[in-house]
Amino acid sequence: MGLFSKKKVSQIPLPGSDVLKKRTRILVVDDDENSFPFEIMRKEGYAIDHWPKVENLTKMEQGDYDIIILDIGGVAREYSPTDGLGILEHLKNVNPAQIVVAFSGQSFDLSKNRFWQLADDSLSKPVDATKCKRMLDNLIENRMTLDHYWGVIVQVLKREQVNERKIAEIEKRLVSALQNKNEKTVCEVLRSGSDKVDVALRLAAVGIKMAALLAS
Amino acid sequence: MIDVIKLISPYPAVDESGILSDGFIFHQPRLCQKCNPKMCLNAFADEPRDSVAHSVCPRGFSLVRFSWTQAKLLSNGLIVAGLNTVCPPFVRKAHQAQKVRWDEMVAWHAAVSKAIPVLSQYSEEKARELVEGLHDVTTAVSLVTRNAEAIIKGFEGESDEVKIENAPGPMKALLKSIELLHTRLRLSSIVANPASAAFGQKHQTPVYRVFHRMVRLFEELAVKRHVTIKITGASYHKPLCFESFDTLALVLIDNAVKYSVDGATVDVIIHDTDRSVKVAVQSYGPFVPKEAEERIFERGFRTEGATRFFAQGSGLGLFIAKVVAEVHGFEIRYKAFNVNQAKQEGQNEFLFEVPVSVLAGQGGARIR
Repeated sequence: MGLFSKKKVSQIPLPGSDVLKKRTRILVVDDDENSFPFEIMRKEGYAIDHWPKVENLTKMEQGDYDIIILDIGGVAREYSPTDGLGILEHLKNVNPAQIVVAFSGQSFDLSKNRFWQLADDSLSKPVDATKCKRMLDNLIENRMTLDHYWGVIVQVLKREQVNERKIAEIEKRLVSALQNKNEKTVCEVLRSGSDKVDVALRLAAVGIKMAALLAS
Repeated sequence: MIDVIKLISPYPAVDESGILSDGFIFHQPRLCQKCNPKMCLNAFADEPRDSVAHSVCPRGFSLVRFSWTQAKLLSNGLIVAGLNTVCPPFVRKAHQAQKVRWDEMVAWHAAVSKAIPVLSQYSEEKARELVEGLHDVTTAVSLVTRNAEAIIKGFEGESDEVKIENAPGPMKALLKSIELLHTRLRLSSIVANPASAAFGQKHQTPVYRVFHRMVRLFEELAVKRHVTIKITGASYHKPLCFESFDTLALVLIDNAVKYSVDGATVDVIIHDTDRSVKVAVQSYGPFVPKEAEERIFERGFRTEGATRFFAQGSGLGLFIAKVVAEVHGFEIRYKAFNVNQAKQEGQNEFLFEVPVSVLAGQGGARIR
């Protein structure tokens, strides 16, 4: 770290959007293999995995994927009677920085409104490749930023009634850890934000996402 | 629910938009069919729930307001024996045919009250069937889209847009139809669930491009109707819009083409102002009379002129347009000019301004 080390998360430079696009891991959870243009999107350089249903919840909770495109029906009946909505609510609870896109053809169904409102963005079926590209590029550009993730952390800290001074101190230490590209320290700094185990883990999960953005 | 009640009603009825329906025993008398303005609509004032009330319309017919917790029905064109003492001479001929007994009406109301829980369940089942049906349609359209994309892949060009440009005419027409199908499905979603117009994030939207694309989608249909569509002006702003904004363009251009007389031109004019993008869609055809202007954005409302000109419409297009405009924070204004009263035709203009957010020009803006 140099003499003029930056104190704000937003001032840390990120790799270019092309690099971010290649680095972004995307998961589509949908039982209909024709609903998403997998082939075209992969050819366009997006790293996309497809699960017909929730195959590994832990991976989703831990933030293995940067963007999860989630269908509402027939993907998680063994986890919750509310299916995709239940998974979305759970993910937002354990890892608030996880980007989830609501992906369904049921926008006409009033009973599913919460699913659309809770998600970070939406894709209403049927979709074409152009629409998918536009939505993903927009998310990569606007959501996969240190600033956005720091915003999520501040929200969690404020909810836990952490004072402004302590938040500023955490940011200072976080900037240092991020500049050193040290994921372990990033997580430690964030875990120090709360004594509650579940909250500390949630903060660390966001830290992993931040560190991943800067990884070489 | 009210649609089901109407189906099982022996009595004629009028809804809040003034649309008449026959009962399965008693029909609408000719006087009610011709009656204009329909003063009976004033009888839709609040009434106690789970009640039956009687009044008489200025024409001398009985108006019976059936009210339940979940629905209300206004029965018109009847003469309730014993209660309707007004009954002027000119309805005497209709008197016998339209005569009903009050106790029977009360008994029918009570029977429907008992049936409503069952009817509710039936409605829910129907809604579920509809949801499943639309889901199947969406799945099929997804499959068509994937196949179309696989075909496009084979054409020359670096991007999809260039590949589509290089595709033969019938293929281009097919792709346009698929895109139209996508937008129409979104339209159905907004009708069923108006909240869906605000689903997802707002994205920077090139308004001119959206309308230009829609004009191209409608070109072929317009030619078949002997109508020309022109888009003029220029716009460089990119206001923040939901995905539903496309449906607004579709509705206005679709309506303009549908309600244009033979040989007419539909003009789409787009200009930037300092703080907005101004859009006008002009066409020549049946106009909206002054007294109906306030109602054209109501769900299911159609003017007589529109119905005469194009019988198949549903009156949902402008309702959708209004919903989309509302979620974007602007309103659509309608104006008729150069009206030819004899032909009942005139120049129609739908005008709106999409506000440009300060953030939109800065790139990467988003709104939750």
